[in-house]
Amino acid sequence: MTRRVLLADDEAGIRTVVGLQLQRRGWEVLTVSDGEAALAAARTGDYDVLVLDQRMPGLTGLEVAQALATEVPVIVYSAYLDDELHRQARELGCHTSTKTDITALLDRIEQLTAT
Amino acid sequence: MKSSSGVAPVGEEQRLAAVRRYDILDTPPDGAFDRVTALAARVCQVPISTITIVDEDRIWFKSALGLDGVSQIDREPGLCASAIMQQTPYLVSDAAIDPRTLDNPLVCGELGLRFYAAVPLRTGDGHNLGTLNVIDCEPRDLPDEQLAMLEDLAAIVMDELELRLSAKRDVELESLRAAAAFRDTVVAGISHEMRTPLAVLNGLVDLFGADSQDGAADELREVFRRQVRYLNHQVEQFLDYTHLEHGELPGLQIEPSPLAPVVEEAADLHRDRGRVEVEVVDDPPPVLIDARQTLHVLSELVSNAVRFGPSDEPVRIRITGDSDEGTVRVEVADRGPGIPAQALPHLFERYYRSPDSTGTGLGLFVANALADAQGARIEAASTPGDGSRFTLVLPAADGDRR
Repeated sequence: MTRRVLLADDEAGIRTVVGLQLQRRGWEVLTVSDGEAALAAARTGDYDVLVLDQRMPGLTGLEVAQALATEVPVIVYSAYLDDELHRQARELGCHTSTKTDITALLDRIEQLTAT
Repeated sequence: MKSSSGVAPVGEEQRLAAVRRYDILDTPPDGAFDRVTALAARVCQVPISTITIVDEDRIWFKSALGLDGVSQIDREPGLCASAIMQQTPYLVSDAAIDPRTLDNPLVCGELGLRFYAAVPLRTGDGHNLGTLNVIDCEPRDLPDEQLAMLEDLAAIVMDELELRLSAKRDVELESLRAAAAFRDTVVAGISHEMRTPLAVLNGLVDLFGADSQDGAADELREVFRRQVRYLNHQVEQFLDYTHLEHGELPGLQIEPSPLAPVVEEAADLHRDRGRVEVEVVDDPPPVLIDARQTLHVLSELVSNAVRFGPSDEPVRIRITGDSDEGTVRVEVADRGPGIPAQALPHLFERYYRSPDSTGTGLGLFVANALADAQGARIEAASTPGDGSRFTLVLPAADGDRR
């Protein structure tokens, strides 16, 4: 069964590279470029994992996660990971990763969805 | 007390440093000081009163009531130079018959000075900067009450100088702080702006690599990959610098890790700039480290070795376990000019740089702080003329594994 990931990032470069890398690893990838679109897509589709940039126009990654309150694993990632972001993510039951190391982000996705 | 010319009195160097610190010499005339001399002259009923600062070779007048147009005189005949040598007021009732002054040119010359009373301007740390004095061309005495007032006025002069010094320091500190804050904002801003594009480039290189059949393309991709990783690493280091400069340690994730890949990565980061050889001796145990920060530390050591070593001799890195100590040692050795023995103890000090270095003076300081935060240490050894050896000593994850 093909695994499905929703990837939300306002930077096209990140969407392309992370999207392609995930496709190579056998994922079906849907990409969106802002928080509102992420919320809409997550509500209408089935995904194995949601991968959300924290800093996006409209809604932040954490705000999307909060609005969804989903059982699906959510990874909020950022170039500005700090203790505060870790804490907020933990409170919402989200996972965190860094935006500055794409390999680490990919590993995190695999690790959280390993069955 | 008379000092022969050319021989500086004891403590004179420190006293002159104090004079410089107040930064008062050659400043323009100033109402606050002129009012003090006017008051001193009136209280003591004399025509002349001056506030003097005794410089290395001159006596400079901050205020000179009754001495029109005189802004400084040579130090040698000046009575103030003698007055500052003692901690009590210096009084000469009749200079023409006083053995200390009778052959002084100010006394027997045109001015015809006869009466001189000076109270030293004494700093909190005990240096006499100069004097507040009153002068007359008639002999006279100074009643105790007038002397007491003169001493109070001298204290006011000193208070004024202190006030100015602290105001000046506040301004300097404020501008230093503003400059540092601006620099941090710029560095952090630039670094953050660079991080995401660099991450994208990093990810792109991996995508290109996957199914290439072309040897030349593979080689180009490797150069690209190393350069991007190096740039990425430098940006991360810049951010760490700004944090560590403020004494903030990055959050550490210390866990058992194999060391060789981290060392390989550190070596690889610098291979476009010089040859780096890594030797692993006897399969050392894993270490308890934060891999990212250890990479930063090692990269700093390798970077220095590549920079200072000769281009025809490789930098040699050697990893060895020390089971007795429960540590793993990473030696980074170059065959460069070495480090002078007197510089060795200072290498890890903040902003310390070798005289011919163009660095920031932060590299080794930061590396050492990062090593220290992980319970590791850096040892430095050097034989001048035969290179330097820096050793990062890391705690083994399992001391008795071997």
